[in-house]
Parts: sequence; structure tokens; C-alpha cells
Amino acid sequence: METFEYQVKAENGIHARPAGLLVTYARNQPCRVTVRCGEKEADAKRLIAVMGLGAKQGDMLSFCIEGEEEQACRDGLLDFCREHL
Amino acid sequence: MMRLNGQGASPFDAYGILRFDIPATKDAVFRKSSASDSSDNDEARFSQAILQAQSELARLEQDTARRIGDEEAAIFAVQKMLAADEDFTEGVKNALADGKPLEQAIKESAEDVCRILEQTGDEYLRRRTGDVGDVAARILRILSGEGEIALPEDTEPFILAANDLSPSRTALLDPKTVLGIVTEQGSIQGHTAILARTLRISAVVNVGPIPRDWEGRLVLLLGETGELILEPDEQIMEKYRRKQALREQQNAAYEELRGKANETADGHRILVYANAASPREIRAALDNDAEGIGLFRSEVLFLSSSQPPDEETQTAYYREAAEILEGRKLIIRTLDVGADKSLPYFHLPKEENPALGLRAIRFSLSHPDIFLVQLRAILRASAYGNVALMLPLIVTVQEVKDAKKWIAQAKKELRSEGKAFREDIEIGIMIETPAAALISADLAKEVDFFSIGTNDLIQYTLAADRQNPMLADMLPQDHEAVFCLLREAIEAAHNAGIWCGICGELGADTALTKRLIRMGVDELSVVPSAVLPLRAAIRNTQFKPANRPEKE
Repeated sequence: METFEYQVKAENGIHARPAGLLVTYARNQPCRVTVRCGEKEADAKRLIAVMGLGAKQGDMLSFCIEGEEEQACRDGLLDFCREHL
Repeated sequence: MMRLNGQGASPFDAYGILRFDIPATKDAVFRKSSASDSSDNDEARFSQAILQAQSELARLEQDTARRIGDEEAAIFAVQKMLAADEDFTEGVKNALADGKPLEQAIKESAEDVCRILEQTGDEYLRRRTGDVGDVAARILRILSGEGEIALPEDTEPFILAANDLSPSRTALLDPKTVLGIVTEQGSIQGHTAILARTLRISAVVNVGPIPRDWEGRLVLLLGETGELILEPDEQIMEKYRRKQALREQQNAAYEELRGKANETADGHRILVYANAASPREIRAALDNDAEGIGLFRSEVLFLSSSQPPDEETQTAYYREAAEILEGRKLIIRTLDVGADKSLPYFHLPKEENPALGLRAIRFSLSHPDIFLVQLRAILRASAYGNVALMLPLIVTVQEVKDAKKWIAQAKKELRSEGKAFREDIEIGIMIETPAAALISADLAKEVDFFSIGTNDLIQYTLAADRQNPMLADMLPQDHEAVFCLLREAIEAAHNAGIWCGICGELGADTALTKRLIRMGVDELSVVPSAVLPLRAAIRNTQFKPANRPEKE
């Protein structure tokens, strides 16, 4: 199991568009990805669930990656966050 | 002549025939589909409808991207994903398993999804419930066998009236035929308003019920004041025509100024920067041809989080800002918060007079751990662009000396850690109190520049709260006392060989440009939309009145 934390930089937090990008990216990964924000948790491959986190600029996200190619998934996701969130 | 009042959602006006939108009635959809296939096929019908909805949305996305833009098209990409979202589809399947009819299952599942978005408490996400409703309506329409709904067809340009417009419908708008939009409900932050502003057409929302007999009649839509006027009289029309003509002239004139120098008719150069609080605002500033950012507010990072932003986060933020500017100056103001702007992770005692309290530089100097982190981040960002640093609310020379000690400390630490930064980074202060203006000669010896924050300076000098609407018309912004203080600061700066700019609203007042330039102001930092009008005013001024222009 791989994990990492990421603080949201995007001005609008995880709004519809970045959520859509994240979910699309996560769906293409072979591993399972869970995102936690505060007390809420979401399967990163489900759009409504990710939007439902209501993550705002400055919030800390905890990613949990399990399954195949964890390390690569983790690195890819971290890069993704840096670029889009 | 009759008038309806709402909220102006897009600062343009329009005059034309009013046409009502033809709404999709969900009732009609329900009535039709109750006579359709048996419930055995429901899941199959649903899956099929989703596929068709996705294909329609993909087309809409492409079409909108081409005609309007990527941002607006993105909403359809999101809607496409919403259509297949498991929380939505599983909700429908569960309801079907409970024996509910398909259309009801869809409606209920959509409502559940909306509830999830509402519960985030986030304004933007709550508005997305409109998109969920839009997608559900689309799926229901497909199931009922109706074709794609078009907006009223008319080759004659018209003003569109509706109760409210969903994103799908606004996407079908052709700005060539739709002059403006007026809705009975809606908000100025809604999709319709945003699209109207992007397309640069008039929009007014929330006017309340529009009488149906206005259909086909001439109306005037005023997007700034938020009015819809039926068959306006000649007096109003005259005013409108004059305003349109003026606006067209102005816009053409401002566009002509793009790329031209910010210099007076006799060649005296002024720097025109813009104020910004985020990378997006910096891009707006560059779009408006600003030469740099004269005030970059750092508060947004601190106010929107549940803990102080760490050095990495701050560095990345300032670095991004600097890089967007590609070498143009970025003046970052250190934290300007206090007891009135609540920092959630601090428990500051409540103050009687927060504007006069422990804020800005006083806060920073009392919380050196936070101050040092910000200074380190600003210094690190200076390795990536033309970054300068500015201290707010300075009142004593000692404050400047103390701040400079912390800056030196930050530099020492970064040097020993091998982290790059600009050694000769410019350090300036805001002159926003009478005290600072009056001792500016002493302050000028300690820093590399002044930036006059006229908003607070006027407030403190006239002893008047600038947010108090009761005082709005009573006290002049261009009070002589304010100009006395401006003169002090500018002269003190120049005597010490440093530059002096203005970053408050006064700088954008083109009625005062001539006076400010002749007082010797070196830089004006204004809201992005004021950059070009200010350039026009500057180019229209003589720095030295005795000079006569060569021509004419």
C-alpha cells in the first residue's frame, strides 16, 4: 500500500473540472485509489464521490493506493496533483 | 413603457425583440413514457439512454469548444462523466430493484446525487446540481423519444427570456442571433451569467416573472443596472444610443493602445502595473497589457486553509506567479491580516478596532515563525523571476529595521542550505498611514521603494471608514490633506534616490492622472481593467506644461 499527502493549490479547490480530470486519470490506473479529505473519503474513480469531498484550496488530501503497480501509480498521481490541483 | 428590475450579470446593453425560451416540460416526458416498454427492459433502456446522452454531450462539447471556448465546453465533459457515474447509476438500479418505474428511479437518484453536492457547502459545487438536473433531464428526454430541443428559431437577432437556462441550452446560443439574455431566476455567478460575459452579450438575472405578453415586443436590456424595459421611450433610447456610441469609440481607442508605451505626450515614462491576488488575476493583468504586478496579495493562501501554508506551498505559489510574468516585476506584499480577517488556526483576542490593531507587519513581527516562513518562500521564488518584496502598514523606522533583520536571517539560512534566491531583492514598504508619509524621509533611507496604499491612507487621514456607506458621498477621495501626504512621500523618495508608486484605487482615477504624474509618481498599479484607460490618460497628458507637442 502506498500513500501520500497533497495540499490543494488550485484556487477553486477540486471543482468539477479538476475532479473530472482526476477521476479520468484514476480510472486509467490498474490500482485502487482512495482519497481522503478531512473526515470524508472517496473512491477516486467515482466523480460524484470526489466532488462530494468538497476539497478547497489549502485542504490536505490523503491518497491511498493499493493493488498492481502501486509505486508507479503513486508517482503518477503525485505528478498529476502537482500539475492540475 | 414598463420596467423590471433584476441583477446586472454582464456589463453590456442590448435592444431588440424579446422571445421566450421554449421549455422542456418534464410532465410531458412522464406522460409519454408511461405508455412505453415493460419494466423488464428498464435496465437495458437506461444503459442505452446513457450511451446516447454521452454521445450527445460529446458532440456538444466539441461544438461548444469550437464556437465559444474550452472553459465553457468543459462543463459538457463533466456532464458526460456524471451520466455514467456509479453513484448515480447504482442509485437508479437499486430503485429499479425496489420496483420503482424507471423515470422515477432516475429522478430520485439524481436528487440523491444533488444532495451529496449540496452537503459540501461549497457554492460552486452546489451550483453543479444544475448540471446533474440537466443530465437527468437529457436522459429522460431520450427515453421519451423526443428529439434534441432547439432554442426559438429566428434569423432576426433577439433577446432571449426564460425562467432559467441550463448549461445545455446556453451552449446552443449563437451570439450572432442572441443579443442578450434575461432570466426570471438565476444568479450573477451562474452559468448563464458567466457565459454571457464570455460571449460579451448583455445579461440580467433574477428579474422575477416576465409577463408572457411581452413576447415579440421591443425591449431594452441594461446589463450594468440590471433592468429590462419594455418599449422604452425616446428619452431612454437616446441615452442608450449615446452610451453605445461612446462605448464603441472607447473600446476602439483602448485596443489601439495595446503595446504602446505608458508615457506622456512629452515623453515622460510612467510604469503601469496591476494589482492581483492569484495567478488567474495575473493573466488578466497581462491580457490588459500591464507591465508587471505592483501589488501581489498573499492573503488568499493563509485565509483559505485550516493551517498556515507551509514553505513549499508558498514557494510554489509565488514561483508560479513569477513565472507567468516572464521577467516582469512581481511585488509580493507580506501577510496583511489581523484579528478582523479571521485566520482559523489562530486564536487572537478580539479587538475593539481591528483596522487599528495587531495586523499586517505588526502581526508578522509578533509571529516571527510565520513571518520567517513567508520570507523564505518569497526569497526562494525570487530565483525564478523578477520578484520584489513589500511590507504593509509601516509606521516606524524600527519596524523596517526589524523586518530587515528577519529578511537577513532568512537569506542566511537559505544560503547555508544551498537554496537559490536573489541576493539583491528589492525591499519596499507601503505608505498607507499619515505617520509613514510624515516620516518618509527617514523611511526612504531604509528601503528600495515606496508604494502608497491610498485606500487605507485616505481612510486613516480623513478618519473615515471606507466601507461605511453613510459616508460615501460626504468625504472627497481627493482631499487636499491626502495630496499633501502624497507629496511628502514622493519627494522623500526622490531625495533618497528611490522610486515611489501608488497601488490604491486613487491611481486608477483618470481625473487625477495629470496631477499625480506632475507630482512625480513613478508607478501606478491598478485593477487590470483600468490599465488601458490609464494609458490613454497618461498619453494625453503633458508632464511639463511648458512643453508644446511637436505636431499641431
